[in-house]
Amino acid sequence: MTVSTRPSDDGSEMTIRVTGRFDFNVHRDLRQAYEGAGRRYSNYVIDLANTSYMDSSALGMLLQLRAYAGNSAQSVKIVNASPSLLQILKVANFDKLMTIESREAS
Amino acid sequence: MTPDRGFEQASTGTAIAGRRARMLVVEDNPVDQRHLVALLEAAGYEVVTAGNGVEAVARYREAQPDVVLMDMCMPVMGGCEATRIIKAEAGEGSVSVIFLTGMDDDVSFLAAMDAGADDCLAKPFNPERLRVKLVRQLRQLELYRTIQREREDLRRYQMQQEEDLELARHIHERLARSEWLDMPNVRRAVLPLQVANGDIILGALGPRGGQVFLLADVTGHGLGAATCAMIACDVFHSMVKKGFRISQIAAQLNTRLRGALPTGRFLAACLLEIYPEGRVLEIWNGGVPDAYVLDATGTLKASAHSRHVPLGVLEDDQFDGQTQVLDIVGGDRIIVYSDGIIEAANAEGEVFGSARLLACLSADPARPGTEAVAAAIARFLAGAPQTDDMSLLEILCVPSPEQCAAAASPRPSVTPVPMEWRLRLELGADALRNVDPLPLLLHAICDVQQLGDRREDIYLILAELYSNALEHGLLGLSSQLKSFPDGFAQYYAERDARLGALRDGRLVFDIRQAPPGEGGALHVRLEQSGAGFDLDEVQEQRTLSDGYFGRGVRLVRSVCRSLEYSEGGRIVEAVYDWTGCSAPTHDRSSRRDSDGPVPALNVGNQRRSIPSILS
Repeated sequence: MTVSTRPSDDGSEMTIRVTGRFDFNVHRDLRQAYEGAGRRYSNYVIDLANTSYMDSSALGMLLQLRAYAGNSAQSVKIVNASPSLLQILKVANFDKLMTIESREAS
Repeated sequence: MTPDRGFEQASTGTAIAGRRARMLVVEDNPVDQRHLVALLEAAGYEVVTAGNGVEAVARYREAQPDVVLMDMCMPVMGGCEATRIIKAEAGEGSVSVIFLTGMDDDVSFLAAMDAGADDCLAKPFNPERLRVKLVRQLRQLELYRTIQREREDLRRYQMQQEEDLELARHIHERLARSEWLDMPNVRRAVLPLQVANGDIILGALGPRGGQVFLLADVTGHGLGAATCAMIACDVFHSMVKKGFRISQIAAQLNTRLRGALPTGRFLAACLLEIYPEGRVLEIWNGGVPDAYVLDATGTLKASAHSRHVPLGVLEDDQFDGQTQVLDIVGGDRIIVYSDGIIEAANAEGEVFGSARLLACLSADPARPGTEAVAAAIARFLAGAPQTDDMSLLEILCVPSPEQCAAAASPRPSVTPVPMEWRLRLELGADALRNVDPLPLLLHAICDVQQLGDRREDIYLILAELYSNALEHGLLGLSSQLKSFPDGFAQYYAERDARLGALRDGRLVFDIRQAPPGEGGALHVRLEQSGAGFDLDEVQEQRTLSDGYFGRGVRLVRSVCRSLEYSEGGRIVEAVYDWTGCSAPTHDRSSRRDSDGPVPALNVGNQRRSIPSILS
């Protein structure tokens, strides 16, 4: 499964993991993952540990998730991004829109 | 013979495509024929009959049955030959043939299959078996027809898509036409993916002769991309023409794109302006790779990385129009490009990267960068497919920009008639910090008095007087900074800082058309509440140094009938004659060396949008 989800133990946030290529093919599954969860969480975490590639449509999907989650920088957190993915997020200055943690950070 | 019960009760499988399935019974023995017909009709099928192969073919053509029950041995023409003919005429999957053979042996079976039969049944047969086979054949036919229909739908859909794509490409191409011929120092390389390149590269001349550019990376290639392109081109060209700064253009693009595009769509873009005197480069970069400035030897001397979120995402109050200002000199090259170039990957999965890009630009500074990069990429890819649009803009900085010949607008055959009007604009400190009054004033003057073709002169006058009043009068800046190597960047940084801190101050524009009898003359008066400045001292400073700044006032004097400072420099009044000349008196093309600080207005964090005159 390219997109998998895991709610946190206390139910306040949902972690979504994208495996492999994060491109336009992921769109429907990703939307289904957060819209079809039955409820809105206060925070969403996107785990890029197993993401090999991200393009501008992926950035677009992150914006959509952010809008769904309440449009603030705290609504979406991105974790475990590899250096190359971090670079993509950096050039687009997405750290101004959402919280971004690199792989080294705990 | 009574129809068997089992057969009768099978009510399923008798319909196809919403109607009763049609059977063709081909049987030379009349008893057998009647038996079969009765069986089939009782089951609910429509039945037609034939007594031999020839009749079978004729009946097939007339009745277009779904299934043919074919006897093997018949006079005149046998079942195998009839089957061959029917199958040849019928399209794939439009009719099934079930052979009813007299003998249950391999030879017959193989002969039937060879002839094109879909199935076989040996006589005498169990009606139940026939029923099952019929149902199966009908199901297969139905399936085939569904596939055909879906294939047709898909084909139609694809054609529609291609048409839309073609339209998008057409729109894109028409819009992206810029006045490149007026800018001989600019080179572009565009490597399209498929037919149309989704990237946008635009260039235009501002009213003061500055060059303004936009390089943008559009996501996708279809109508979404064309929409982005349409908005971007429209906004860019109209605003540059009106004298807006890149900070304001970026803000407006952001607003318009956010309004037009769905969430998730955005435009990564880089806006650049080279000021008319050719010494300053201003950049706004939101989402595009680092823009480079290389000197004449090919060494990287400055770069401007992306500091902003791409256009179309942020709300107006969060948008940041802050620009970077870099010093440039004649011989420098500015390189801006889309990420397709550095992310181009070869068969080994390696990417071209910025290191390689810089190396190839530096290797032979005399060689056009666009050529060098295109060649290097082709070599690097070595046949691997191109997966993204690749665009590169290369601007050669010229010491005395020939591009200052602004795009010629047709001279009206009739000179406008002077009308009586007066315009007063008073700006307090808040307004001075947040608003750029020049495009507004220029628009109003040109619109009311129909002076569009005098736009450059009028803008020059307004801009020079305004920048002197603001910078020397209200902000207390000294032009001397500009004579140092990094001077311009520092000067504008200082200007920004002081402007941001401005709390008191007032500037009043008082512009009127001269009273009737004076001919067509524009009176521009500017009054500022700051410290007066000694114009003579300022002018002397300017003449002494090698002076890229400071000739502005002289230029304005050359264009105006008169220019007078009073009250210690707090008030200035210029009178500009616009009748009686068929060309702007401000003839840039004859200038030999760089012109004065045709005022560079770095308004930095311009937040106010000026809606009405942008259409």
